[in-house]
Amino acid sequence: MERKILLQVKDLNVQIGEQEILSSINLTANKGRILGIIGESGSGKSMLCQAIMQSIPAVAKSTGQILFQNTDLSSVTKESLRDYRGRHISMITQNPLVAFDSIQTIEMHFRETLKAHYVLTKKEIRQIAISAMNKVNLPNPEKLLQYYPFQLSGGMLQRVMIALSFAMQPKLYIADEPTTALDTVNQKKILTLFNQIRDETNAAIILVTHDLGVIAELADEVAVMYKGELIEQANVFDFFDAPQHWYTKKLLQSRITF
Amino acid sequence: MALLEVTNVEKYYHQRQSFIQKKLEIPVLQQVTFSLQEGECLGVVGQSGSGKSTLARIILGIENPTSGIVRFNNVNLYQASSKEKKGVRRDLQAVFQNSFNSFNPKQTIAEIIEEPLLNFENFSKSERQRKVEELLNCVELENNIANKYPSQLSGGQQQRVNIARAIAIKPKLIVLDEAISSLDMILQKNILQLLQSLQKQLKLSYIFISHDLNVIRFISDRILVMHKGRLVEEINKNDPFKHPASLELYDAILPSHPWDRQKTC
Amino acid sequence: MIKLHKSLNGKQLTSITLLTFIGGLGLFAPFIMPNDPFLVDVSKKFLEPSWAYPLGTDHLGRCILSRILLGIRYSLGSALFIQLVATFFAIWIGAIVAFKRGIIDYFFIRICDILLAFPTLVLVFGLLGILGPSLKNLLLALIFTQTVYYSRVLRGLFISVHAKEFIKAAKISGTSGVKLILRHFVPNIKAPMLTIISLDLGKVILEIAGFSFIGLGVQAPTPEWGMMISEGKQYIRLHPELMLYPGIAIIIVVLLFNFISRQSKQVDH
Repeated sequence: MERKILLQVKDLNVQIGEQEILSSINLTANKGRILGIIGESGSGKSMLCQAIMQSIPAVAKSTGQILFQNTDLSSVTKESLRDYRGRHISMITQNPLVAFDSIQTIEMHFRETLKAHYVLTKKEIRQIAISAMNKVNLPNPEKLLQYYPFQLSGGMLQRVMIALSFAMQPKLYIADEPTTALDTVNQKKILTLFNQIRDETNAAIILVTHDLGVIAELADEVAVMYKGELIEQANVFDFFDAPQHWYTKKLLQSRITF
Repeated sequence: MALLEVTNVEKYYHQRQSFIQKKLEIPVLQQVTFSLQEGECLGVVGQSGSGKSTLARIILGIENPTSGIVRFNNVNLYQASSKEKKGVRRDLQAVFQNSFNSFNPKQTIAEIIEEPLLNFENFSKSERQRKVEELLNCVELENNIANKYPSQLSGGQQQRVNIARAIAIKPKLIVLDEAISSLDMILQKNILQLLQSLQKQLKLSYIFISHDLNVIRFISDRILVMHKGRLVEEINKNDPFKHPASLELYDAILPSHPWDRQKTC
Repeated sequence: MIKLHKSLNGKQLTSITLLTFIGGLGLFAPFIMPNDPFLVDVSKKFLEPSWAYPLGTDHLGRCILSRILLGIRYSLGSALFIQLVATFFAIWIGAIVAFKRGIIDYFFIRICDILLAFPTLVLVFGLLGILGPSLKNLLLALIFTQTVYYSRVLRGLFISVHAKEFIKAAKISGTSGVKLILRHFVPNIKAPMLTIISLDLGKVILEIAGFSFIGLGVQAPTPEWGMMISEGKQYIRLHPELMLYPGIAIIIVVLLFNFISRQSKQVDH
């Protein structure tokens, strides 16, 4: 199986004032593979996602390279960055309700997202939206398009967010704790969805979580974040069978097995 | 005799679309019947929307059921005299999910933990202080936490304070509603182990509510499965699940090792 | 009891200090004013500022400074009185309505909505029309309008705190009734209420001055600032100071109140 590197993070450092939030992060995301990043709250995993998307807070300073298909995202123009974000790289966040505009229907969200990057008629957008929602197994897409975000449950809204991303056919998905706010049944549905997306579109997926179960279920490669550092990286089987770092071992011990 | 007996509890919410239209009746709980023996840990599992939290509030005596009876320690909760109610309150405590919101932001940790003591005991100030320190130690927290405010504590610490408050007056039953759901993995296991050891130490009974079947199986002696407001299955911890809703929850348990991945073909 | 000092900044502290000072001046006015504010001596009218009359005299030869000092009682004092009484009633009404809910709440809101739809001016006009213009009736009318507004606000505050999880947790810990209100409601309502009350103090002072200006409040010869401006308006061309001094006094006090409340960011530890 030929591995194609899609994203490379080289020596990424992020500082806020005197405090180092991320230190010397080096990682790779490959096409058609899911990279699971696991860490506790405060380990810096969300900042890592923001750094890749070039959306760290204004007070933070970053150094290092974010190479997306060999282009350093930290040094492209704002217009090009807009092109990358949303079209080639899609971010899925933890709390879907916050990511949506509460006064726009789902259909308007699709229109806004797709029109920003493509030239399409309303009818074409509708078709793409319905097809994307069917793909993520959302029932009654035509009806759903008319709903407002607050009318949908957390699980459904998360799937709509994934459908929105999917409609853009990005090459890289960055999912920051996409299932933490959902119950286990909805979580399973979303994770199965990611599996499906990876298999069918050959996209690279970076999945950030604090739950080992998510890693065990989905990840091909694993990276462990601890206090802003990437302390271990391995393929998923080596990770579970032969952990190296003491923190990784502690994490594995904390599984609730039975 | 059972510590807690819930018989045919039902809860409907009424929603008016507008002033003119009739009230809509929305069933949240229907025909829920079960009992809890002293010393047991009863797990209640179900998806979000299955009615678990409403059930928790009804058991705790803070929300009236539309119909049905809840008997705690042989007292009919919703027809008790105020003296009986006070007795019940003493023995029936709770730990909720969102730990930060369950604290008055203007109170210090010491004030939060000693509140049940103030309500039920006649301790002097120094006795209360000592008791608070004792409770902090019970939940593996340092004494210097006592003078801090909730916003200065981490999620795990806040939840421990919640537990300290719940055990302060030595209740018989504690209802834990998604008490560990918003914590990191390592913390989840720590708190579960703490809860288990406290149960033995203080001879507590638990009703542990969660959407995570894995956690429920770890801590419970018996398991109740809720689905769309109904109690659909009641089994002992090691028995297999039969009801489709239970099986759906069971399938949703994530593997503990990549070998156990379910292949979806 | 009022643990405000931790969360105040320099501007607020200065404003509060100055206002307390001004309040003190008003309290001790009879002892510190240089002259009798009511003493009419037409031969001494329109005098320039001097040691005997630091701000000069008005059209009736009365010492302007003494009148302004005594006027503090009528402006600041009345405003404080109105706010305190209004808040007192509003707390009871707001609490009863917030906890009983149901029909009482329903009608309360509708009545409040109707009353609040009228500008204060119109309501007070109406009430003074019925009761007759005097300082006492003006105070009553303003107490009424402020009570309506504050009970609505307090109702909202009580309801929002009541919905919080820690109230549920406190009830489970066995707290109820008065204990619940004192331990949990009051500390969480105190800050927003104090902000509103202090902001409105400036507004109420303006209202008192305004109504006195048009003759519906204080009656002459009471040295209330609005009344003083009204008396001075005939002499605006030759002796604008008659309007200026009380006007500046109003501006200073209202500004100081604004400084306090606008900066009031609630510090939730």
